[in-house]
Amino acid sequence: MSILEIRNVSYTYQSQYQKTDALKNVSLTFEPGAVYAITGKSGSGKTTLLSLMAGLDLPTQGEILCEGTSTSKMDLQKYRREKAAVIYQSFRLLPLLTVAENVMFPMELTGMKAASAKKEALRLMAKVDLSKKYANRFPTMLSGGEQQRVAIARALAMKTKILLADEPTGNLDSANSENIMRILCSLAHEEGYCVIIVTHDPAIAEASDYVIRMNDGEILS
Amino acid sequence: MIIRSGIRSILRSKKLCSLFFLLTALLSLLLSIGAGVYATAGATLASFRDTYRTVGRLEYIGSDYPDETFPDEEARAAYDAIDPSVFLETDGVSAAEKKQTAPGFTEGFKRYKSTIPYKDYGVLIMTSLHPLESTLTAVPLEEEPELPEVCTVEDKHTGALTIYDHGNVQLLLRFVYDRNKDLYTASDRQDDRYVEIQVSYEDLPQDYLIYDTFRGRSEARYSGPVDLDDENLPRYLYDPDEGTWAQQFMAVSEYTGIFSDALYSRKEERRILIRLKTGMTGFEPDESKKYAVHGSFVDAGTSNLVFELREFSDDEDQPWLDVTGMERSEIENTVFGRYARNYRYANNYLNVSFSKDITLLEPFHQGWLVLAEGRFPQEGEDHACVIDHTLADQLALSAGGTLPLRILTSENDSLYRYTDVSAEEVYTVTGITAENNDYQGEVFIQGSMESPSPFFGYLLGTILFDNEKARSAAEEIRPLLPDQVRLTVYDQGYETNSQPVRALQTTALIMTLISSFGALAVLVLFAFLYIYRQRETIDTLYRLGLKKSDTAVWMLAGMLTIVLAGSLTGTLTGCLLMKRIVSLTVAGTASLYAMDTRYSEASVGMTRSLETVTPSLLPVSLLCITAVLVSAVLLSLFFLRLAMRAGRPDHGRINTKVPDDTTSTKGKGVLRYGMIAFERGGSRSGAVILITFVLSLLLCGFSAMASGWQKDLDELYENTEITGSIVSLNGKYSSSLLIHESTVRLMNTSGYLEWFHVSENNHHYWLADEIPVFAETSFGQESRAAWIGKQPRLILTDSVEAAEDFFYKPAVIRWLDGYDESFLAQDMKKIGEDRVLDPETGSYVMEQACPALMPERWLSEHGWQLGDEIVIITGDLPVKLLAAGTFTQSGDKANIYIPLAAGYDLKNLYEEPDAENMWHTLRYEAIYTSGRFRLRSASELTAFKDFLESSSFSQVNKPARDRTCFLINDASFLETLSTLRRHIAFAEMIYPVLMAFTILTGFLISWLMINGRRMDFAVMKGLGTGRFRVFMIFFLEQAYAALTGILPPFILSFFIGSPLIILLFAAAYLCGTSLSILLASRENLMVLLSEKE
Repeated sequence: MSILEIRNVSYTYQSQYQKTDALKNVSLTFEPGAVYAITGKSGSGKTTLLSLMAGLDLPTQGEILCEGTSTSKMDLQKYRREKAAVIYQSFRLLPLLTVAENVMFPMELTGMKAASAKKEALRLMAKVDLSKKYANRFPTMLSGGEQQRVAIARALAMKTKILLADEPTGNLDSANSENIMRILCSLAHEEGYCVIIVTHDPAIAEASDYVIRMNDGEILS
Repeated sequence: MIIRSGIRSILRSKKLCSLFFLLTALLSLLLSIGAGVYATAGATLASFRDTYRTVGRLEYIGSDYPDETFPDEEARAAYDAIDPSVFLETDGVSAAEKKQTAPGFTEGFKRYKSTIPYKDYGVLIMTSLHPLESTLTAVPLEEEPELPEVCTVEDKHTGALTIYDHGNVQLLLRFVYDRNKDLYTASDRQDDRYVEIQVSYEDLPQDYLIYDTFRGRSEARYSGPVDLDDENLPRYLYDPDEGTWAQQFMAVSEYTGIFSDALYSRKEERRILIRLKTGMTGFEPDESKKYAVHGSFVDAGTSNLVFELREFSDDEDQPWLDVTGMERSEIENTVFGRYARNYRYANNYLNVSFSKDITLLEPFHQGWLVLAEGRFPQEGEDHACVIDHTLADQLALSAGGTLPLRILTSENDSLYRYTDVSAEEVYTVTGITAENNDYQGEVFIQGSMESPSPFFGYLLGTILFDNEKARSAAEEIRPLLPDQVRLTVYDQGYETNSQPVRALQTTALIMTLISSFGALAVLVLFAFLYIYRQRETIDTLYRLGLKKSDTAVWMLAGMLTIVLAGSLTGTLTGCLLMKRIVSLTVAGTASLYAMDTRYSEASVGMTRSLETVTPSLLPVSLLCITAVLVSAVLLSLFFLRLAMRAGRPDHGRINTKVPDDTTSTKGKGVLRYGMIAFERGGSRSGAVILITFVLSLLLCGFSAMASGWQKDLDELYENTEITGSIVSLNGKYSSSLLIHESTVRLMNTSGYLEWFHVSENNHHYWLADEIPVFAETSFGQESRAAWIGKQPRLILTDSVEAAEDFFYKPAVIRWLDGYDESFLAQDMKKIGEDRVLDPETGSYVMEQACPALMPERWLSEHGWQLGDEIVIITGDLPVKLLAAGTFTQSGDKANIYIPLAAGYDLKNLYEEPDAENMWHTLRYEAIYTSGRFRLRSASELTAFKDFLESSSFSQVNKPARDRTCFLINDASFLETLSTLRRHIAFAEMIYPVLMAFTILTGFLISWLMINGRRMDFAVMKGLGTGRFRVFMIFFLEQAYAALTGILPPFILSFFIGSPLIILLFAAAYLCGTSLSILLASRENLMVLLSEKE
């Protein structure tokens, strides 16, 4: 069974001045254990699609099914907490929390004790090649690649099966980009995550298992 | 293009633009209003300083105060002791001078109102005098006469008449009706002793004399053969105690004659028939001669004028002179001419007052006299004066005219008898007052009196104070004054009217300062947001190669446009509204300072109300706009410089501050993350702690003050004793008044007073051997009455509180054992009732001595002491007194105080008469001469004043239907009350404002702290954190900081101030915080978290 299904989804941005159909009747399915790349020009609707899959909003039309259940019938907060984790281009780490605390944060949301969460956070950090010495540092003390790895560790801490990454290598150099892709692919292929990446980078598209091309809110292929 | 682009770019942020325009406009409005009100208040105070004049009156409080014609030796001594130069050394004293007045005279002025001392006196020339009437006169005989067969002998003591008729002797006793006992009482001499006979009407003898109390003479009820009305019947008068005899004759006592001329008389009739009473002068005129006669016209109840001969007061010459054949000039050189001149001067005297500044004299200072024409003399102007309307009218003078004036020198003992008349000097009239019935014959001369004149009265001098330093200067002067000298300050209402304006000035200053800081804060925020935060724009412009100056113009153009528009709008609005705002704020402030001065000593003295002065506001407005613009420019340049420097690569150095901390595992859930954010907040958290600490500390102090004010107010009501007295309508006299018994009863039954004490001082007393012998003529009796009027008083009172001697100083009394001041309030028999016939003397004397309070000096002068019994005479009755207490008298009058019950029914002071006694009580209602009272509670003061007003009692200078005038000594109470009430009202007004300000502060500070962390909100929500959890993390961060700052003042508030207020403050602050967090967290996640496409 597909872990995530997009069924005839449309989304329209409305403001005082304009109305934009960002997505037009998009239908897709995603399976666990694979890396999907969504590509397209700026304004093609890929980020909008990712945001909807992240549970940041509901589609204007159609539905998004996660493990067979429509997100419109779910508590989106719970969905974001338990079903889909997002990795952002700008990392979006909490600046007042240390690296370890950033990773601990989602675990404590589920009721885990801080001591246990810390232990798990250190393990996850190791998984993304961040040693213990990084635990007490603040995001502003890290490089872009390091911050992105923290973001991945935080996403892993959420124990979801869906990982959504919005231009995860957009702010990184090529070496770090390769590193991040390697981690994401390993999560998909070795641990069965469904990794969906929005990207402009052809190298990432090439490294993915599936590529979805979008233009003007529609799926090309 | 640069300016246009700069303006366009800022105008596109419509919301923020509008917000800052409104904030700038509002703060500029407040700033201009504050500055404008400050300038207005300053101009008004300057005008007050120039217009109000604060004057102090120095008065000696003597026995006949405030009679300005009385020759009081102690007042004269005080006058001589006063040295005005000493007062000039006191800071706040501008001028000081002694009173300089003298009587004056000018031809053509005739006085017809106020005091005319010798109104009916005259020196007449009479002719054709014929006898008209005879009266019974007793001529002493040297030895016992041989009585004729038919005659009468009157007993000098008992008044009984013995009729001798050819050997028959009949005694007619003289009875007096006692209405209380309904008995007829006579005294008779039996066996050399006097016995009292009391009979009822039915038991009266057939023949008797009845004393007619109404006419003051005896009438006979006699049916015997002797004709008692026969003018030729020999009559004798016998004094059995002295053994002396006198024979009574009918002597001519009245003549008619022609009033042909007068050396002086106010009567204008001439060559008319008048009656002349000669009394005991022995004048037996010859019909054919012409006489000069000295005396006065009397009211004899006839249509003819009646002139009575009077002795000269200081001359032994007879009051008549045969002037047949004498020229008028010859007559004028005699004593008759001298007296005629004195009467002319005295009856038409002018009140001449000298002063270096006559505007300081009481009539002008108090506004009783104002100029209707001309001006006041200028400084240094010689021989210049202002006169009153009546004088000007009679002499047909106008401003610029001249007044010939002579100064009269009075004798030491009388203002109206003159020893000298100065040479005539001519004065220029510079001004004439408006008509005033209380002033006629007044001359006010600029300058000093050349020759000193004997001092009369009690006003010693005047001091001119600096308006603002008057109070402190008066406090400094008072200890320097001799005993009994009082300084009263009259400021025309300066203090009352200037206080609110000063308060307004201070408030305006505070408001201006706060607005200035507020405007500065807004400009800082504005510059920070619109310039510093536009680093990206500045950076882009920099990369495009724009010059720094052009970049500055770009950034400043927009900001200054908004600031200029806002400040112009605010300032112009302020200008337009200024007058209205000033009048509203002045009225509002005045109402806060308003005191209920009804019936109060605080309202005595004239007050002036002046309008506020509004200066031109253009300079103030321009200053405000300029200040705002200059501040905006400077701040913009500052932040622009910072923005240009920020983010520039600095040879690879990156200057990033990081907090020094480790991963925390303490706590749980929202408490944990709130604490982490608080601990790592750095200066952000520190700022919140500092701000909340300062604000809550200020509030703690303020609440401590406010609760202190309330406590002070409660204590003021509880501990203040308010007294008052009945005074004359002009507020000067507090004795010799007319206070009806019904008024006293009303006061005692009103329920407002703790006590109301009265006294009555209409009786004078003397010792038996002190009174001289006066002739049995009306002049003689008038002289006797005048002598009695100068004797000290026997005052009936129910308390020392109402005793004149203690009005101006505390009572220090030495008591006889077993006595204290309560004896004055005790009930006792009236003096008139408690009398028995003394068989030795035949006089009715008191059985028991009446306890009395007597002057120590008087007792020792007569060799008496405490505990002695002393007999005084009052109303021609002997009164036996016991010296129960002694005191130090004030003035030269040795007043004695006895219980009120000795003359009056005390129960009439407290109870309405019953129906049976109603008529009698009202018909013979007692009249008291002074009254003092004390309120039961200061909290009932307003209710008491309402009661007085509703009962139509008068206030000083404000007569009402009932002329009884009340004066309450509540000036300092009212002032303190007004101050406390003002503070409490301020606190009541300010608390809601403070709370609103606190909520706003909490909101603004939180909003500023949180605004830059919207992404943190979004990230947490994006991670699935619940809305409540996110709210609580940020709320707790702020709450930890705020409560840390509030805690020390909260603890302090348990010792001073109110913990409740601090808790309310904390709650208000956190409300504001909550509001800002709720607003900040309402962002769209899609918009925030989605990367820009």
